[in-house]
Amino acid sequence: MAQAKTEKKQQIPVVIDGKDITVEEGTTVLEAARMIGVHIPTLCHHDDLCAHTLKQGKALDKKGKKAGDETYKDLTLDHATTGAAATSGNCRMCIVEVEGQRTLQASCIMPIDKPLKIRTTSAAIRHARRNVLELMMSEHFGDCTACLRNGNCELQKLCAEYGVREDWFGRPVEPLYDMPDERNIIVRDMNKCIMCRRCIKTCALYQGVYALTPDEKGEHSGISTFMDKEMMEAWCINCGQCVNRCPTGALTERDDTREVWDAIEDPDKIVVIQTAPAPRAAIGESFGCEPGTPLTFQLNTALRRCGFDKVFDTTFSADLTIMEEGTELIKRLYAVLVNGESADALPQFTSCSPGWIKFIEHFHPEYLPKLSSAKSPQQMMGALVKTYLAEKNGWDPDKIVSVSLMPCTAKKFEADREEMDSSGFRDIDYALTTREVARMIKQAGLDLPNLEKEEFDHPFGIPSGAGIIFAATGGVMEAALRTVLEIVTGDDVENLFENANITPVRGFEGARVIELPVEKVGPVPDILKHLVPDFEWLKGARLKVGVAHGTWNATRVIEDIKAGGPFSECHFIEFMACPGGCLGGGGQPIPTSREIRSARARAVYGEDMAYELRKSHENEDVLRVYREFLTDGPCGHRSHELLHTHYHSRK
Amino acid sequence: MAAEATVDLSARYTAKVDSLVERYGKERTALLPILRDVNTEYGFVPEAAMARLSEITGIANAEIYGVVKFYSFFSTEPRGKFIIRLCRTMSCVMSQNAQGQASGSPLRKLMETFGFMKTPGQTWAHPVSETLMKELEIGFGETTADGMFTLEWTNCMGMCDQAPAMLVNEDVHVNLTAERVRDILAACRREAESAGGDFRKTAATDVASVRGTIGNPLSFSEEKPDTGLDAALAMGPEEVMETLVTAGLRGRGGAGFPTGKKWQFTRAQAEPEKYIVCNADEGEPGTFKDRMIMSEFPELLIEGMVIAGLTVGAKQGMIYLRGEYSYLRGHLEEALERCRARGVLGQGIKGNPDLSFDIGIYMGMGAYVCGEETALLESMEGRRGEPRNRFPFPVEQGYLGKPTVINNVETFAWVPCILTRGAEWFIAQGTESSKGRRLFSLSGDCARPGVYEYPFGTTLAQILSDVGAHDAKGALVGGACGTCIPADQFGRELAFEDLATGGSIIVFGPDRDMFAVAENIQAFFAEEGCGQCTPCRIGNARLLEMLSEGREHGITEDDVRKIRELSDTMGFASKCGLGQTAAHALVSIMENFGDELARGGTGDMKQGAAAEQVSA
Repeated sequence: MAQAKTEKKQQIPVVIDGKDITVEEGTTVLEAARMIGVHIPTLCHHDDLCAHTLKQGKALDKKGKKAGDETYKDLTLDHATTGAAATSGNCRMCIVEVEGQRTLQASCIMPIDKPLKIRTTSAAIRHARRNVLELMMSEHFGDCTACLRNGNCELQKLCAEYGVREDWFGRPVEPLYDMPDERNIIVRDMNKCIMCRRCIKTCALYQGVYALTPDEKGEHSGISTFMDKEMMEAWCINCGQCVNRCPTGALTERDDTREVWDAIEDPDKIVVIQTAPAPRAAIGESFGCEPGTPLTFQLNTALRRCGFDKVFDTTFSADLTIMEEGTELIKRLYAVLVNGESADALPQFTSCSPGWIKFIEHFHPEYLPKLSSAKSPQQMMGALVKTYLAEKNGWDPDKIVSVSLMPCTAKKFEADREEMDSSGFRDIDYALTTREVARMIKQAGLDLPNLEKEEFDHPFGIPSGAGIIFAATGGVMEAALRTVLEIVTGDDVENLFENANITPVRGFEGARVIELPVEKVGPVPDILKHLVPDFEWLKGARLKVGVAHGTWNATRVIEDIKAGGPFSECHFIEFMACPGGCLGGGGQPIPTSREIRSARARAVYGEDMAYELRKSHENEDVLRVYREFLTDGPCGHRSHELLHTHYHSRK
Repeated sequence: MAAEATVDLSARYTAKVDSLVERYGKERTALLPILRDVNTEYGFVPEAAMARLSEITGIANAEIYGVVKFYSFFSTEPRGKFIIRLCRTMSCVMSQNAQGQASGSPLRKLMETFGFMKTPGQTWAHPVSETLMKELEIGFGETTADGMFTLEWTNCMGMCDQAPAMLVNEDVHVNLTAERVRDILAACRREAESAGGDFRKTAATDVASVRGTIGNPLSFSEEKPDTGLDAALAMGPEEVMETLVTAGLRGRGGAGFPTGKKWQFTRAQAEPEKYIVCNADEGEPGTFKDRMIMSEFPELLIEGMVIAGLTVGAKQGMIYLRGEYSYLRGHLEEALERCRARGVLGQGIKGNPDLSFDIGIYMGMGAYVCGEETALLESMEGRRGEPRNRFPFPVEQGYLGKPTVINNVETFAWVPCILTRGAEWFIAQGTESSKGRRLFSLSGDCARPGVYEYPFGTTLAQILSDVGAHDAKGALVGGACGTCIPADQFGRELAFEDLATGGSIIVFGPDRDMFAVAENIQAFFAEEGCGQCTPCRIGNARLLEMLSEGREHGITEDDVRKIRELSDTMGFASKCGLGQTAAHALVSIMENFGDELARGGTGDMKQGAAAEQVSA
C-alpha cells in the first residue's frame, strides 16, 4: 500500500476531438479538455468543490508534531468522510462521448486511467445537453429580469448558448415551491434551484457546517435543512459560501439596498458608510475589471455620489480592534503565565468573523471563553460613529444611519445581533455586501473604475496597511503581530521582518502554526501601564500563533486543540469563516475560485505596501480616540462598554 | 402541561437512541438500523431522536434528516399505530380489476378533489382501497383521528403472484378482498385494545402464508445441502472461479455481468479487506423470485455467499433485504443460525480454523433505487440510497471503499448447483450468450402466476402458455424498466441477446388499458428515482405529465416526438442504469400499442371501465 502511494503517476495519451494530449493518470476528462482549450459546459461542477481540489487543501495532521509546513498532510477526503457527496456528476451537462462506452459520460467525474478517445461535441451530445437544460427550465419558476443573478447566471448563459426555448416542455406558470421568506439573510428560492448540490457540497465538505441536505427523492427531491427549517433557524453560519457557488439565483443574500436608498433620500438622516478592505479589492470584478484591481479611492467618490454623507475607512476600526484585541491578549497572557489563572483563556481566538462566531456558538460553545470579547471592526466603527462622532459633530445619534460595505453575508447577521446596541443605538443599521453596493453604484449610473480618486472622511479616514490586510487570511494575525511585537520588544518590527511583512503567517494553507521568539523586551507604553507593570515575564518566551480559514479548517484546529496538538499550545489563533479570509467572503462578486482569491490577496498586500501607515498603534485616528474619548485606554471601562461584547451557545 | 409532555417525550426518544447506539454502535453503518428501530417503535423518527443521534455520532443533523427523508418507510411526522401500505403497482391493481367489482369513477373524482392522489396518473386498487378508505374514513396519506391507522400507498412489494397485497407495519397480507381487509382491520383493533394504548405491532407474518406458487420443477429443489461448498473446497478458489466462467453464469439481477469475472476482479484486488453483498432488494415491479428463494431455499443462498466469501477472500457478507420483506428476516436469521450450527458458516467452516465467513442482514427501508448496486452500498453505509458515479466499480471500491462482490439472490443460489453438477451440466442448456436456466416471476392476467424455471432461449409464447395466459395481448418483460411485447412478438426468446430481463414478466389480458399501464410505470419512476441527476429526475416527471395530460384525448404526434427525444436523452445521459432505462417501457408501449396511446386512457387499468361506470 505504502509503495503504491509513492509510485509516480503514469502519463496517459488521450485523444480529444482529434487532438492528442498526454495527461497524468487520474486527470478528469473535463480537466484534460480544458488543457487543450476545449470548453465543456458544466453546472454541478465547481473547481473549488471537486474531490480533486478539496484534496489539495491543506489540513492538520491529527498527530501533528512541530509547527511548520511539514506537519500538515493533505486533507484526506477518504471514502468514509465523503461518500457520494464528494462527487458531482448530477447535472449531466458535461457529458461527452467516450469510445467504447454505450452511454454518454459525465466528463467532470471521469478519471482517465487508460488511453481514451473522446468527442466533446456531436449531435447526440448537443441534443442531450439542450434537453437537460430544457428539463431544468421546465421546473424553473422565476423571471430572469427580476432575478439578482440576471446577467451573471450560469443557467441563463447556457440556455442562451444552447437555444433553449419555451415550447419544448413548457415552463411553470406558478411557483412549484413556496416563495422564500425574505427575512432570511441567506435566501433560498427552490423555484430557481436546479439541484446541482453545489451548495450542499460547499456547506458540508468545504465549510464543514452541514446545514443543507438533499430532501426526499425522485420528482419530490429538493434541498432542505434539518427539519426543513428556515435558514435563519437552521444551523447555518450565514457565511454565504453557498451563495458564491450557486450557479443560479436560487441562493442570494437579503437585499437591503432599498432601505439604504430610502435613508439616503430622507433629508433628516445622516447616512454614513464604512468600507471594509476586502470589497475594495474585489468590487471592480462587478465592473469588468480583472480580479485584483483595487478601487478603494474611486469607491469613495462613487459612494459620495450615491448620496452617502460620510465615507469612513474600516481599516481605522481594524486598527482599533488590534489595539483592543492585542491588549486583551497581553492581559490574558499575563493572567495565565504570571498570575497562574486558568489556562482556559488561551489560546485567544479572534472574533472579527461573524460566520466564525456563529460557527463556534453552534458547534463548539465550550470554547466561547477563548473568543476575544472585542467586537469586529464593523461594529466598533458603528459604536463610535453614534457616540464619539455624534458628540464631536453635534449629531443626534438617532438620526444617523450607519451603513457598512462588507465582503460578507454574515455581517448582516452581526449587525442584527441583539447585543450590538450597548451605546443605546444600533451599532450598524445596514450591512451591505460588495454585490449590493455594486448594484447601487450601477443604479447611480457610475462607471466606478473610471471615477477620480477621493480620500476618506475625517476622523476615521487614514488608510492603514495593518487594517487593509484584515482582508486576507493571516492578516489580522500579521497586524496584531506588527503591534504586539513592537510594543513588547520596543523594537521596530522591520528589524525582525523585512518591510514589516510577516510572511510566515501569510498564504492559503488551511491551517498553520507559527512560532516567534521574543528575544528582548522593552518598557510598557503609557497606554498599557494600567494593565501590566513590565514585560520581563515575556523575555525569552516563544510566541505561538495559529491561523485557520474556512470553517472546515477551523474544525480541524478545534479537534487538534482537543487532542492536545500544536494548536493547543498556541497563544493566539486567527479564525476566518471564509476560505482565503474576507477576500473570499460570501458577499463578494461571483464567481469565485482559487485564482480569483489569490488575485484579490495580491491587491490587498499591494495596498498595504503602498500605504504610509502600516501599524495599528501608529494610527493617529485611533490614538486620538483614546486621547479624546476612550480615555481609560484599551480594554478600559469605556471601551469595554462600547467595543466589547459576549456571545452565547446556540447548541 | 403540554410543554412537560414534550420534554417527557424528548427524554424518551433520547434514551431510546442511547440504548440503540449501545446496541448498534455509532459508526455510520449503524445509522439506518438505529433509525429503523426508532421508526418501528414510534411510527416515525422524531426530531429529538435525530438531534440526539447527531450529537452522539457526529453526523450532522441535516445529513441524518436527509437520510430519513429519502426512504419511504421513514417518516418525520407521527403516524398511526398501524401503518397500512397498499401496493399500487400494476399486478396488484390489475388483480382487482379482474375481480370485476365496482370500478371507481365517482370515487376517483372524490379522491382527486380531496387530493388523495399525490401524483397525477396514480393508479389504485379498487375494492381494497375503497374498503380501506370507507372503513377508516380517511384518504391515502392520512391518519385516523384516534391515531390508530395511517393509510399509504406503496410501490411493488413483490407479492405480485398473490395480488392484491398490502403491508400492515411489517406484516404482509396477500390475496386481499374487501372481506379480508375488514377482518384485518378488526384484528388490528382487537390487538390494540387488548394490549392497551402503547401498542405497536411488529412483524409476525407466517412465512408459509405468503409462499406463493412454484410453477414447475426447480433445479434448486434437487440441490443437497452443502454439496456445493464441499465441491468448492475441493476445487480451491481459482478453479471455482474458472468453473463459473466456463459455465457462463451471468448476474440474475438483470444487468447480466459474468459472475466468475466479477469474483476474479475482486479476488485480484490488493486490499485484504473484502466484502460479499447479496442484493435482496428485489424491487423491480413484477419480480418475486428472490422472495421465493429466500423463503424456500435460504440455505442455498447462504451457501452461495459462503463460497463467494471463501473464493474471493472475504470474511464478512451482508444480505441487503428490502424493507417490504421484513417478514423474512427472522426466517433468514434462523437459516443463518442453522448453518452456523452445522459448521458451514461463521468461524472455522467445515472444521478448518482458517476458513471463516459470516453473514449479517441489513434492512432496506423502502427505496426501489437501492436495488442499483452502488445505491445499495450507499444505503448500507448509512447514506441516502443514491447511485455512485460509475468509476470506480464496487469490485475495486465497494462497501466502505473496500473491494466488494455484489450479486443477486438467485445468482448466489445457482453457484452451489453449478459447482455440484459441473459447468457442463449448466451450459448444456440455454443459448450461446445466455447459458443455463433462470427463474421467472409471472404475474398479471394469467391463470397460474408464480415462479417458473426455464432454460434461456425459451420463447415468451411457451411461458405464457404454461402459465395459462392464452389470450394475452401483451407482456411486460423486465419490469418497469423492461420492454412491453405485443402478441405478434411472443415468439421472441428470453435471453440476454433478445429479451433480457431480471425475471419479471407481467401479462396483459385483452381488455387491459395500455395507456394506464404506461401511466403506472411512469408514476413509479417519477416517485422512485433517487433525484440526483437531471434527465431521470425531471424527465420522468415530464413523461408522466404528458401522459396525464393526454389521458383524455390521447397523446399527440408532438408528444410522441418529445417522448422519443426525451427517452434518448434519459438513456444516454442519466447517471445510473435506472435512469437510463426508465423510459424504455413507455417507448415500447408507444411502438407496440401506439394506437391505444393515441386514443387516450381510461385512467384505469381496464379498458372501458370508465364507460361502464357512466352507463351504470
